[in-house]
Amino acid sequence: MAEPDYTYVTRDFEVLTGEAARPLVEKTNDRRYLTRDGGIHTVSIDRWKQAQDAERHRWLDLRPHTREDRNMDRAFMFDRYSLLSGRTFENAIELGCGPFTDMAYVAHRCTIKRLTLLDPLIEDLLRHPNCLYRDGALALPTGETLPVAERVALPVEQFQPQLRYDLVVMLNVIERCYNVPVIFRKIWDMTAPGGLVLFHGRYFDHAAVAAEAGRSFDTAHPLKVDRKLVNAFLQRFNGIFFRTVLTRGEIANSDPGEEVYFIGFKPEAA
Amino acid sequence: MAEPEYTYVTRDFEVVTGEAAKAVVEKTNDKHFLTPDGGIHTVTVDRWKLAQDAERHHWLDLRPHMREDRNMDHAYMYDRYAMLGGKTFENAIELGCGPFTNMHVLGQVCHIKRLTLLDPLIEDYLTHPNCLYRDGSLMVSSGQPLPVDERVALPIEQFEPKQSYDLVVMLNVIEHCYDVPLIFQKIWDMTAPGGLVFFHDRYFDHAQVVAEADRTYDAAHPLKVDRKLIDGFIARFEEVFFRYITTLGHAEFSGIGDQVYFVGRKPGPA
Repeated sequence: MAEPDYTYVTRDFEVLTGEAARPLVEKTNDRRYLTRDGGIHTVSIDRWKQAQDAERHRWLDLRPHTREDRNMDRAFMFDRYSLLSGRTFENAIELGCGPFTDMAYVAHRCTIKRLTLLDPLIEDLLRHPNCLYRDGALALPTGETLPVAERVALPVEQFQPQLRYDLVVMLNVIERCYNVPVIFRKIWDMTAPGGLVLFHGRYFDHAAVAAEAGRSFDTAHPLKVDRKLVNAFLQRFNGIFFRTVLTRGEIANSDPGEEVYFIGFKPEAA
Repeated sequence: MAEPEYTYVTRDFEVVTGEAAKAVVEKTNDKHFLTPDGGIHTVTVDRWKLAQDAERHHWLDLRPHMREDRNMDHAYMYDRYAMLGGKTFENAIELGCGPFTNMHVLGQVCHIKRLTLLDPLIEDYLTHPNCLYRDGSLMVSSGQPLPVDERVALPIEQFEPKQSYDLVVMLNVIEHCYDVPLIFQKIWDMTAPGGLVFFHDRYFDHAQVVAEADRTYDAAHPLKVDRKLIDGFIARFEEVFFRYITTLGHAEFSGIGDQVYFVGRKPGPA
C-alpha cells in the first residue's frame, strides 16, 4: 500500500497537502492517541478544546451566512426519516446538535413532546445569525416551531441526564468528541427501554487510521473510530434501519469513505 | 440461507405474499429467463410489454396525483449533482425519463443546450397531470423551463441515435427493460468521447436472483441484473463518482438491498 500523502487541515478548514503540510504534521499530529486496534477513540481534553475552538470559529467567523450543515443530505440517507412517521416521543434529545440541528427534519415526521438540545457550544451557537433555535423554539421545515425545553451546554461525556429519553439522535458527531467509549455508554444509559436511537458516523478502519496517524492532522476532527467499536455499540440495539454508504470520487457535500446510518430500539428488557 | 417467501407483485403494485402468492407464482414467474451467472438480464418483448403496461397503469391510473418519482432522493444520493456544477453540455439525453425526469433536478446545476428525453411511454406520460415536460419544456427545479428538443417514444434497445451525447442519464431504469447487454452497448455507443454517463440501479447478486426466481414475480420489474454485468459496464468509463449503498431493514422511499450510483467519463478527448 502506498504511503498516504501528508494532509493538514487548519483551524480555518484550509486543507494543506504534500510538502506544505509535512512540517506542520511532523510537529503536530494525533498519533499518540492511536489505540491498539480501535483507531483513535479518545483524546485529551486539551486536544478536544482545540477542536471545539475550530468548530466555533467555523460557524461564527467563517460561515455566518450558512443555513444548514448537510442536514437534508442526512434526512435523505435516513430514507426521509420515514420510519418515524406517526410516532410520538415524550422526551427527545439531540446530542451535538450544532446551529441547525437534525432534529428539525426528524420532528417534521413525528410528534415530540419535550425536546432537549445538547452541544458544548450551544450558547455560542445561539449567536449564529441562522441558528434554528435562537428564539427558544426550534424552527421546523414546515414553518412550525417546537419549543426547546432544555439546552445543555456540555460535551456528551459530561452530561448527567435527569431523565431517560425515548428518542436519542446523534448524527455526524463522534469525530468531534473526546471519549467515544464513554459516549456510547452514556447513550445506552440515557435511552429508555423501548426508546429509539438514530446514529450516523464515519466508519474508519484501524489499519487506515494507523497508516495516516503520523501523516495527517485535522484540527476540528481529532477522533477516527474503528468500525468494530461502532458496530459493537449498534449491536446492543434492535436495528430497524441499517445503511452503509461507500463513496469515492468528486464529492462536495458528503465525505469520502464509508459511513453508517442506523436506527434501533433499545430492548425493553435492557 | 432460509428459502425466500413467495411474493407476487400485481399490475396494481399490490404485494401478495405467502400462500396467497404461491399458487400464482408457481404458474407465472420469470425463472425461464435466468442466465447461467448474470441474473435475469434479458426477457422477451412480450414479457417487457406486460411490464410496460403495468408501468403505464402505475402512473396514469394509480398515481395521477404524484409529483415525483424519488428524484430528490437520487439527487442527494448523487451528492446533489455537485460534480456537474457550472458545466455545459451540448447534447444531453435521459433514458427512461418517466413523467417527471431526473433531468429536471440535474438541469439546475449545469447548462444543457439541447435536451432529448426518451421513454417508451413518453407520449402517454404527457397526459399525466403533473408531467414536467407536457408543454414542450422541462420545468427545472429552479423554475426555469428547459426546452425539450426531442421526445423519443422507444425502448432504449430500439433507439438509433443520429448523434452522440455528452451527457447520458439513466437512473433506476434497467429493471424495466428487456435486454440489458444491448442497452449497455447502446449507451457506450451514444456517449461522445469525454462525455459523462450517470447510471444508478440496484446491484443484484446472481445467487440471490436464482434463489428468488421461482418464488417471486414482479409484474413491472422483470429484470434483475447481476452486479458483475454492471461492474463490467461501468469499468469501461473513467470513474468520476462512485457510491455503493447497502440498506437493511425498512426503507419506504429508497428501498432495501444494494444499489450503485455512478458517474463516469467515456475516455477520449471532449
